Amino acid sequence: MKTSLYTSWGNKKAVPHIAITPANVSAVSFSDVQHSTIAYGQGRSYGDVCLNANGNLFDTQRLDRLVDYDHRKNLITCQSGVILRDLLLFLTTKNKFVSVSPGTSQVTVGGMVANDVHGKNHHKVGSFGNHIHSLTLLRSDGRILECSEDENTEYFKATIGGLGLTGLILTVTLRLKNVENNCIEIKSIKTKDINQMLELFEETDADYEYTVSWLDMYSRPQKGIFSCGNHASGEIKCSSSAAWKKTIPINAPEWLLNRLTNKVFNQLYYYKSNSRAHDVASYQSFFYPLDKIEYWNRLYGKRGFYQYQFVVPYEEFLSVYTEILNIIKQYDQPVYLAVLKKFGEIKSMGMLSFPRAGYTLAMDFPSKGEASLKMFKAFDLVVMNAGGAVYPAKDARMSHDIFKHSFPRVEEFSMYKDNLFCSDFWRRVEQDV
Amino acid sequence: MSKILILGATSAIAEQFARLYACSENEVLLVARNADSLEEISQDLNVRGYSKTSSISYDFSDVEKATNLIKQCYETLGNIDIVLIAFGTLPDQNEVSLDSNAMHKEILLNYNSIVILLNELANLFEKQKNGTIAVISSVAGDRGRQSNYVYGSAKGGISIFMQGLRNRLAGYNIQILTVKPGFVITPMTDSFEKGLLWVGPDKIARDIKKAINKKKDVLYTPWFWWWIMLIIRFIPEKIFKKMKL
Ligand SMILES: Cc1cc2nc3c(=O)[nH]c(=O)nc-3n(C[C@H](O)[C@H](O)[C@H](O)COP(=O)(O)OP(=O)(O)OC[C@H]3O[C@@H](n4cnc5c(N)ncnc54)[C@H](O)[C@@H]3O)c2cc1C
Ligand SMILES: NC(=O)c1ccc[n+]([C@@H]2O[C@H](COP(=O)([O-])OP(=O)(O)OC[C@H]3O[C@@H](n4cnc5c(N)ncnc54)[C@H](OP(=O)(O)O)[C@@H]3O)[C@@H](O)[C@H]2O)c1
Repeated sequence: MKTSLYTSWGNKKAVPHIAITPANVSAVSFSDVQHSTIAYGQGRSYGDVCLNANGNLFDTQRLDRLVDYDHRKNLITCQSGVILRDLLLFLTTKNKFVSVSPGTSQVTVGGMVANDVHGKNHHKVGSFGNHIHSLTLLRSDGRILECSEDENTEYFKATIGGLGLTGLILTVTLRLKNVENNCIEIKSIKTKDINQMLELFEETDADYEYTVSWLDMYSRPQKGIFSCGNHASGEIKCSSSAAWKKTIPINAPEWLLNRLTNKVFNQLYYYKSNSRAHDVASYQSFFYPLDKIEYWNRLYGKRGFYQYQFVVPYEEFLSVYTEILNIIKQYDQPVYLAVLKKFGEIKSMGMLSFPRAGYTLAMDFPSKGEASLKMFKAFDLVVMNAGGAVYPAKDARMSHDIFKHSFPRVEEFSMYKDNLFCSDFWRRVEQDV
Repeated sequence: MSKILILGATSAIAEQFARLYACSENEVLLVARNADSLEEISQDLNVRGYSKTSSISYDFSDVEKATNLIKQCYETLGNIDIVLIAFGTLPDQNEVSLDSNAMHKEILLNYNSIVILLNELANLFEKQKNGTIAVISSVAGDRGRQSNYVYGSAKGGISIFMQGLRNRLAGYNIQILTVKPGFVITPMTDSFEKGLLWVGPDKIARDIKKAINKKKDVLYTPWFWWWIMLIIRFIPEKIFKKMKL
């Protein structure tokens, strides 16, 4: 146990924590926890759900062991600190895959449960929590709860999407899917505006498991690239790009990433892709294009950056989108990256799960202090009026009323929260809960 | 098909190393003292695909039992293709400077116990006439510095012992691999501030596997430590002794 600096993906100033890094599951102990603690996976959340400044923190990096694999039943049990990248390297040798994957593979299984993460296939299969067979939860009173849809059901539903507040997840058993190889067949289509993009989501819904869209928010109207894909069939093998991974070792100077360089990048990205391209690529390059550059968040410099991700019902999306664009213009803030996805109708398992039917837009902004925060407040109003929600995994600033609006079951959730667990995020939003 | 023995199997570097060989052709025997970690690691390696995973609970400060241990390992595996010695401790130099008993314990574990195991293994490998003996030494063994010369001298001793062994067994088709890592993020260095030169244990493990395949004698890992230590070794003692290192 010692004081170390921890930060999250938004790359804001790192804050001291008294870290406990258990060497194995039996070694987890609460005796050294002073006031409160929170689990820290790989810190790929953008804000403060994984931080507990000046308090304790369980770093799960060494709880990264596989426990059981059942080929026939399509189940794998692993410890909560197992990293998705490693899990997939194992699973693809058996022609299996996780049912849901976020846009980076540098996340832990525990982190994926606690944020009930979604992938590009929500319209087909729901979110991560819809594929958890069971999990074991260690409460600070020492009890180990086996949780599933049949046992300790309420704890199960509170822990999925529970932002790490119900205790420490020790192991998770996941339901897997069968694949025939490690490749994805991809179709990419250049879009000229948002309407065409939305039409493509509707058109491809039935035939494609994975759909996602990248938007160039500098262009008027916003051009983009829509891509959709399916697991490829047959005995083929795609080489992974892992071998040439680059890393950004230190924070970049502030001037490096600016409107101009970003604009140029977006245009190059747009023009370099064919207008209707078909391709077969490794799952890594389809799901995790950004993982090729380790710590790309450092490109934003030492002030860090924000991501704002919201979901609104389908019918509200276009008007919300227009309003959001106006606000961005009004505050004159650059959007460096924007990604649009469609959530389907499948209900999420967790009491605080973010995914729900609608369109979800995620936008990256460099941190510009007050100006950024004011703009997000203006977004909040629009999103709330449309009956939408803001995603805690990407958040570093939402207020308690926005949280309550986004997650109406929070009172029910509080009954299952563990008293010793707390995060900076929770301290911010818990008032009134 | 390889039979692998890991002495100090709960070390973060050793655990990553063991994962790299997990497949249905290989068998592994793990020796370590922490029973809980040992059980989890052996379960993990089993799932990852070894044809057989066994373990022995053992405290390496029990130097007298070393001969027996190696015998038991041999009996379990039949023959040994690769052995990795990975256990070790990194004492606080200030503490051991003030406490000779503590220093003695450190030297016993980090030098004596290792060379006794090596001696037993070398005699068996000599008869076997194949295989790899790899030991994790350290760049700290290349030159004594005020901040960690007790640890450094034990590691330096190991490196020299390995040199001798390599020379002795040169005609026997046996690889004697001295591994010299730089800064690695493992439980041993939990309390250190980390910087640019630090790498994860998986990187070291991959480098060791490559060095085994290439039949290397000495491995600096990551590679840039070869250059760093070259410079450090070249600094004249007159200047070096005045440096704060
Ligand atoms: C490039 C990039 C792309 C992304 N794309 C997506 C996406 O497409 N969809 C999506 O949903 N998200 C996405 N994310 C967000 C990311 O998937 C989530 O934030 C995820 O939870 C991060 O996992 P982690 O292991 O880093 O957890 P952390 O960020 O360290 O922690 C996240 C939460 O999990 C809790 N937690 C972690 N381990 C445990 C445990 N053992 N027990 C209890 N609680 C635990 C923490 O307390 C915290 O509340 C993306 C992030 C990045 C950086
Ligand atoms: N980390 C670095 O920066 C670095 C750099 C150069 C060289 N090295 C060397 O690399 C090797 C592996 O260390 P690591 O970095 O992987 O750290 P580690 O994970 O802390 O491994 C050290 C291991 O040694 C074991 N050990 C210590 N005393 C023991 C004893 N009496 N009996 C049985 N086992 C004992 C520990 O077991 P317990 O879990 O039971 O304590 C632990 O598993 C060591 O030889 C170290 O000196 C490390």
